[in-house]
Amino acid sequence: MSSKQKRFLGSPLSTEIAETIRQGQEQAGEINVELIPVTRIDVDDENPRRTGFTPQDIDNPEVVIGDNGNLKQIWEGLLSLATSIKSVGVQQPIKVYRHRDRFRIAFGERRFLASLIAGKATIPAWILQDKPKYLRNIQYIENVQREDLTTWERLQNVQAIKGEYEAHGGGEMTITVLTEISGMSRSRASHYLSILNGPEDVKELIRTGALNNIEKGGYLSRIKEDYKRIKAMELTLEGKDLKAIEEIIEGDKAGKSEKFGMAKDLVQPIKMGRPRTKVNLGQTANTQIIRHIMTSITIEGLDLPSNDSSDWDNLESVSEYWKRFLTALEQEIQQKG
Amino acid sequence: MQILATVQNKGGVGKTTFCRLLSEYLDRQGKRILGIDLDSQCNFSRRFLTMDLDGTDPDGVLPPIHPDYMDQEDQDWDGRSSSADIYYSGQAMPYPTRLKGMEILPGNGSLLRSVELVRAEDVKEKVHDRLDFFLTQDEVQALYDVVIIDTSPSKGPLTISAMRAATHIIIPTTMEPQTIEGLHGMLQLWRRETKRRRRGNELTIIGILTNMFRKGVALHEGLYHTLANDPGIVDLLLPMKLGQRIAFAESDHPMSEPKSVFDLPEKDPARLEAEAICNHVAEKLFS
Repeated sequence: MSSKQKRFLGSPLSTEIAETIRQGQEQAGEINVELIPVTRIDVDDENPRRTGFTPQDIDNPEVVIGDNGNLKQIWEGLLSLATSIKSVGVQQPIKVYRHRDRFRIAFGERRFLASLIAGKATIPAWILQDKPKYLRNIQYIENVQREDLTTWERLQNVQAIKGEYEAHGGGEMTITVLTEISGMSRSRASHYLSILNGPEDVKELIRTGALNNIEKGGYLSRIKEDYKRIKAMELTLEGKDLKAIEEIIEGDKAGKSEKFGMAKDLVQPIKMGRPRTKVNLGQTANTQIIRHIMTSITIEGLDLPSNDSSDWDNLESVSEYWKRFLTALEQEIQQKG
Repeated sequence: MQILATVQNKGGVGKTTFCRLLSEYLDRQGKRILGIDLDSQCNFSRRFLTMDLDGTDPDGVLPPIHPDYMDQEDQDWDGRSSSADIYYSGQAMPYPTRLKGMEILPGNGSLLRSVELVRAEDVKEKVHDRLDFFLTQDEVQALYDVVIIDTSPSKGPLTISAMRAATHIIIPTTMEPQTIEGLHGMLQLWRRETKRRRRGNELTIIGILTNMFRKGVALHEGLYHTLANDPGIVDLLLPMKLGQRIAFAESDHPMSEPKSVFDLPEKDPARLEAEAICNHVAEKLFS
């Protein structure tokens, strides 16, 4: 019996089976990269690292760009990436996760949009089985490794992490938590949080690209008194380094503000945004001021109410006369000039 | 939601029997189960539904009219729904079964056969990925704890789609040369599939299930001995076997009493074996 049984020992396939199992276990996850049709991929609107462009904008980028310098820069980056993709393809697969029967981008929106610009039908992608749990964190951690991010984009990433953390019942984001989640240094985390929790004017400087230094931003945001902060912002824009700014502002603490001409009434808020094209003539509720100006300048063909007219007490009618007065004055000056 | 695909490209080795046993067992554990029959022979479907004969297809059967179908209201639906619909329309309507916690998407012989006939360049999008898309929908995920997929004895597109969607596979095997070859074929398919998975999300092999084992048969004993003594294989060989027992076939018969092997006397060897296997698989699935 035993000799008969032995005839069936040692199936030649068992070696191959064992080898297949070994390879399967070793190679699991190795080639989780597929070519996915670009038509089945969507950008993730919740990604703080959104370029600002969608596939629909590719043909008409100007509509999105407008006069925003940041977007223009991003678009130019996309164009140059598209050129390289045209010649060598996408070298590093993007990461997507399944969303119903489509894919959403976890990482790689730029490569995706540039592939569209380059006219590619497919893109290599790692398919994550689920939406990454702390997607923003991961996106952030990916993003801090990049050097081509603007300070504003970095700040928005941290804002998103903070929002996600607080929305999930984590309480208010602290320096310690942010340090743990993001892996950045404590001082850096502290600067980010100071900016995010701080006054709008500092954020505006960063948004417009006038300020690109997180350390300075954090310092500025921690200055409570508006007039001091505004002075410090001016000094920043003049290109002073942090130490010099601190010296000047700290000096002010010791009551030396006069020395630096920092009487707080005189310091004007710094205006951001588009350059001025007009002078604002201001506002007043005292219609007598308006009457005084209008009656002291004679303009041909402009009829004004008599001095005792009740029209001078009515804000509506005075505004209307003022408008006519300005127009007529502009015309007269133009004709004379 | 766990998704178990039962695969083996040799026929007649007990894929359907195992799917049926596990469905009954998990139903008794209070799990919510979706059975999916991807085999055009529809044997898994027939265990739970009375299938209709397909007048247009000499060897085909159709799912019966769905109990929720109202021919007055449902103008756009012919009242039948099968697993093939997942590949055609992406929508399907599972049928209730005699088991309280189980619903099933039965096969449709001719439709399933034609699913496999798509052109090679379309096969990935139209077949391979479809079941995965269907099962990863939130609505489906919310309804069931486990999906049990029975496949056809092939390495074709439908079997690949089952593997793509699955979290786990089990490979029933008899200790005979052709089946061992089939086992190897399935392991090759598994290797290809798990290679493309994200790390940490590999396609888990619950194991090689030794079925229809006959003690004292030299071929069975010899081949089992070989697999069990190969350090590269033994870890995947399930520690218990299903013997060749008429009780498993009997419970398939409509007149059988009891309806389930789990209702046989407690000491009945068929019941004991089935319980041991199903308990082991359940632990692997839900651990």
